[in-house]
Amino acid sequence: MGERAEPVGPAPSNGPVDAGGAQAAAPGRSSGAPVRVMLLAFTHRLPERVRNYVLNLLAEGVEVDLAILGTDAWSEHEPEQWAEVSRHPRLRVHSLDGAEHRHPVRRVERLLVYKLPGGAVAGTKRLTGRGQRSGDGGQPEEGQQRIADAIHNRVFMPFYRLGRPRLLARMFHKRLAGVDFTDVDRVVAADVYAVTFGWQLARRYPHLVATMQLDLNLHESHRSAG
Amino acid sequence: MKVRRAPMRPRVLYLSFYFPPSRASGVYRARATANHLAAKGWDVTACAAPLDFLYGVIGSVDEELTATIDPRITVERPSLNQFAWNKDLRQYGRFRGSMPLLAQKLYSLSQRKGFPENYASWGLNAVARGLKLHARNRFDVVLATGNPFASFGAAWLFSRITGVPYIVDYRDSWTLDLFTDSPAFPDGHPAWQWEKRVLGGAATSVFVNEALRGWHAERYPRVADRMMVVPNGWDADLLTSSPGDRPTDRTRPLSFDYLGTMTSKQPVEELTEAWTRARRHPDLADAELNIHGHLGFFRNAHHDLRQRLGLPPEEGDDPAGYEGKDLGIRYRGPVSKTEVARVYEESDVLVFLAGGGRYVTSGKIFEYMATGRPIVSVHAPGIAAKDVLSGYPLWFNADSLDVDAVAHTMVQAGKAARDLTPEQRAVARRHADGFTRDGLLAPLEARMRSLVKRPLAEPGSED
Repeated sequence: MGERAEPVGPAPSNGPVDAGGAQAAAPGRSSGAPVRVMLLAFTHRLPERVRNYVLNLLAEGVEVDLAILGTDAWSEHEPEQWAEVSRHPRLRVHSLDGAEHRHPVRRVERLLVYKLPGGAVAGTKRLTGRGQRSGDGGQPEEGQQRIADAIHNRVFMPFYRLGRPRLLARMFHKRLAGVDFTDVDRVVAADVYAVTFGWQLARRYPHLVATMQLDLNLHESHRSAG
Repeated sequence: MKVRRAPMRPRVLYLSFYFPPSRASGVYRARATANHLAAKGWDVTACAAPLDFLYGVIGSVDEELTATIDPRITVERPSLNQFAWNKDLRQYGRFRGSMPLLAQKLYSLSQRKGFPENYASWGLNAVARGLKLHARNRFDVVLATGNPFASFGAAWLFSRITGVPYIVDYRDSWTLDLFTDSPAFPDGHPAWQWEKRVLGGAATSVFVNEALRGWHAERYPRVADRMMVVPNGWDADLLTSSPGDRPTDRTRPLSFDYLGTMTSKQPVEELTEAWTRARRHPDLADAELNIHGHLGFFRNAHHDLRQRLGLPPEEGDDPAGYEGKDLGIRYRGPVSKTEVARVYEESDVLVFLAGGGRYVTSGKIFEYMATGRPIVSVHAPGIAAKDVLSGYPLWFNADSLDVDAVAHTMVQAGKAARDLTPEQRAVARRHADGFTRDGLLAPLEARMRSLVKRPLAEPGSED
């Protein structure tokens, strides 16, 4: 399955949206355009504070671009809320749709830690004929699974997590290649894994406000900054 | 020819992170302590928070307060690593920007292995700055006030290196959560080890009330004999006019006033509800409750508090939850410490709103008493402030957070304000005279002087 290409909501207009939203700071945008925020949330489950932040921004009249690992990060945990918010005309979702899981690093790890040893154990079992005897309880597979889990959790993941912000930054650069960041006013990294991408965007686009703070009242602050 | 040298002034290194222009609630004690010591002939060097932190991160300053600092005091501002507060991605360096998780882990490790507080780097830099100054001109005593408690760690380290005795002033509690009356850290947390170490090495430890001293004495019995209480007090130099002398105008609506920073830890809902009910009484029908001060310590905290107070939403606020009723509550905004006398002068009843319980005194209450106005309490029962207020004749205390009971005391306080005589005010203010800051700081100054090991000039003498 490829990455999601289309936004969930329809493309927003640049005109005033409602009484509350009518200001902008990004270059090349009309002064009446609503503030546009790119929210980066790279955890597998969106915390309540992030979900509430999105809802509050939308209520303020802000245009929100939500960059997430997959829509299930919200829909699985709060399906009703997601059903409602995903239809919001000022929300665009940019999802990797599980592409991280399919990254070569993860594939190689699964191959080396799970598949090859698992295959070897299954092959050995077949050759020795133990698997056909009843009552052996499948112990070699269970043991191999435990060892593989231990290697995954205690060896692979600690190192993988350290490099994950860079890896995700690379993936989201591709995923968001079509986004015109000159139209974006603010980038918000909602967690530590999103910092690298947000930091890189800040370096590339000097006009962007790039922060980890989940600030509200953005029309006011962007108006005074502008 | 033999040159006769002037008698030596005792020299103190005062580690006080929050110092003017900060407007943190504890800054008044630090300001008064430094001024008191300078007035008593001490050569005071204060190590305080860097200005970029006060202006850029906390955003809570009162510049007029700086002018009230004795000009003889030298203020140093060691730097602070702002890792924990810096949310601006643009300011991140290459390492933090490209390896944020590793940077965070290394920072956490430094907290675990070094000093368990985000202000640890300031403490370390304060020690470095102190050593440099000490090499030029020796300090006699180190006085550290917390929070933050990195100042305590710095005092301990400075003393280990130089042998200079130190005193720690618990302006706030470190390991006791004042809002839940329970330990602030789990067993085994490095804060416990540090507190034991700091108290073990301190010449004296100072607490703001007997309840806090008792709690620490119970935990650290070996150093209990070196503990003393120095309550907060009111600053005579900041309350220069004579509040309370204005004749009561029975025709104008009563003004109830709260002064100070309002925080989410205070019983704001109870205050609002009790006030709403009290206003149903004819005497208070047109009364106003004025909130003077900041809403929350940090930027952007005021939206939530405005909502909890039933105040109309500001531009950009979420209007949901606002019922549109005028409850007679007015937010008057921050007041400089140098302007509070005017606010007191215009007030009829002062509202003592406090979070927490039996270990909380609140510095504000001393100032309230000095005005000779009726004070109405809105806080949990059994608060430590009771020890101070119990002799005050115009104290109206429901001793409960039951909104009907609080509303009733509000009505009583309003009536008392209407009928107040100059004699009653004078009696009330006499009670407060026992709590001037200078008077309360005298034993601490004497204790510090006793730690100085060289011949000194007489107290209060000038160069």
